[in-house]
Amino acid sequence: MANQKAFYFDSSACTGCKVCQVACQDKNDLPAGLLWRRVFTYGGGSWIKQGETMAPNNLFAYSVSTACQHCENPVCANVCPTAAISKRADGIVVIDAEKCIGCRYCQWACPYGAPQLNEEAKVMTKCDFCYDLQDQGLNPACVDACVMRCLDFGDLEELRQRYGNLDAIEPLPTGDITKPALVITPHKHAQMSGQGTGRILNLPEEV
Amino acid sequence: MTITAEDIAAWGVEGEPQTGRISLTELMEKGVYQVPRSPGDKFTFIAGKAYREDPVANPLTTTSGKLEIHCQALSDVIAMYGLTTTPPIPQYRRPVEGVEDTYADWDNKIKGDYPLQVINTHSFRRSHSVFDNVSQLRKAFPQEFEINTLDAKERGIQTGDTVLVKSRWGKVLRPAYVAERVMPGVVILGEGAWVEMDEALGIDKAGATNTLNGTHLTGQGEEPWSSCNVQVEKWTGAPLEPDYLWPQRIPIKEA
Repeated sequence: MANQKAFYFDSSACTGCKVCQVACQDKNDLPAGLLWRRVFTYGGGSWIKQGETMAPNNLFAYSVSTACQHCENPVCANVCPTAAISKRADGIVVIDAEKCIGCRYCQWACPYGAPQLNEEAKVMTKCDFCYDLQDQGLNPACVDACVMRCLDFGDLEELRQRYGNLDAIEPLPTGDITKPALVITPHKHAQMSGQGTGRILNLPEEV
Repeated sequence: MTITAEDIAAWGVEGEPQTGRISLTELMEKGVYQVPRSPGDKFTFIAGKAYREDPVANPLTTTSGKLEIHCQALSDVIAMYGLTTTPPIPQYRRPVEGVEDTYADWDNKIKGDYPLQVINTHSFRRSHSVFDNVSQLRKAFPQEFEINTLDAKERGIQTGDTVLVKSRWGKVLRPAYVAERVMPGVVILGEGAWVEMDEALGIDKAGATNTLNGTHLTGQGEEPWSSCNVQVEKWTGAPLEPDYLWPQRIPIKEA
């Protein structure tokens, strides 16, 4: 796609502080339970006994901040029975709350778990890339909040030229499902999606 | 700073032009001006210069006239408190509720009633106890109890299980976070949670680390709360509700 807004995420710099997640909730006035942006901790390895002590064996852990990927193939829009989900000219995928009936099909279809039900309003909600800010020439709230400057955004092709073509690391799904508008710099211990030896470490209530 | 007549006109202010090391435009662009330094310039200050050049002729005001790594005067004051003393040279001192105390029989390496060392890290959720009332931060950081996979397996504990953590001093409930990120034998609970005491059970459901730590005054009266010994078991009562769903504490409500 010639014109496609995309997120960039530098996993090698992310500390898992979640300021992106909380800034998103603040800007969008979200209740605590709705996470348009969330941060996973992925890790693994083991400890082995060496004499009287325990020694680390290939231990690793890293953080992945993720939101709606505003995919080039938005499966959420494809399954929506009321055509409430559409793609703007700049590639941003948006939900029309007037048309949405809160059936959750999009949530089940999305491999990133991006669309989430607002229990009070009974409509699906998700990251809208802060298009209201972008339309004013401002940055998305998460990008501006990132303490480590590991979130950025821009045109997908330009981001790929600058940072490469990687669009998935564990625990994210492989990119071939939805063609996410996402460019990643991997952590030094990052494992490729589908080939991971670790697991998501977060509590279920946390993510 | 150099300010020209044009600058004054452009800013629409009154004043006289002046000459300096950097122009107003350049300072606005760079946002900073660094004073250039060179050896021996007038900004140079060497602390204790006279003493360093001739320590015999210029003794310091200490008892020995020299720099003292160990301050006997301070050491005497601390000893006067009658709590703990500090030796002048580094040496291993058995900590209160350190690894030794996790054993009932150190020589034969038989663990005791509280076989794990809990360390109290600073949680991302708050600054000490400040901001613990914010639901979004409670969601992001659930005040989890981190335990190594091997220790958890021994106790039949999985991530998300409510666990009972017991020390010599108190009990708390917390959700378990099972991972390899902490060493076997060591568990982690962040300090600063707001106590939520279940008076009937005598258990703090918020997992405040002060509930687990005893009182051990040291030095000049400091309370060294950062670790102690604990035991952990799977909680068989009602599981904890996630912290972010707990009602916020709002003592003064608007009418």
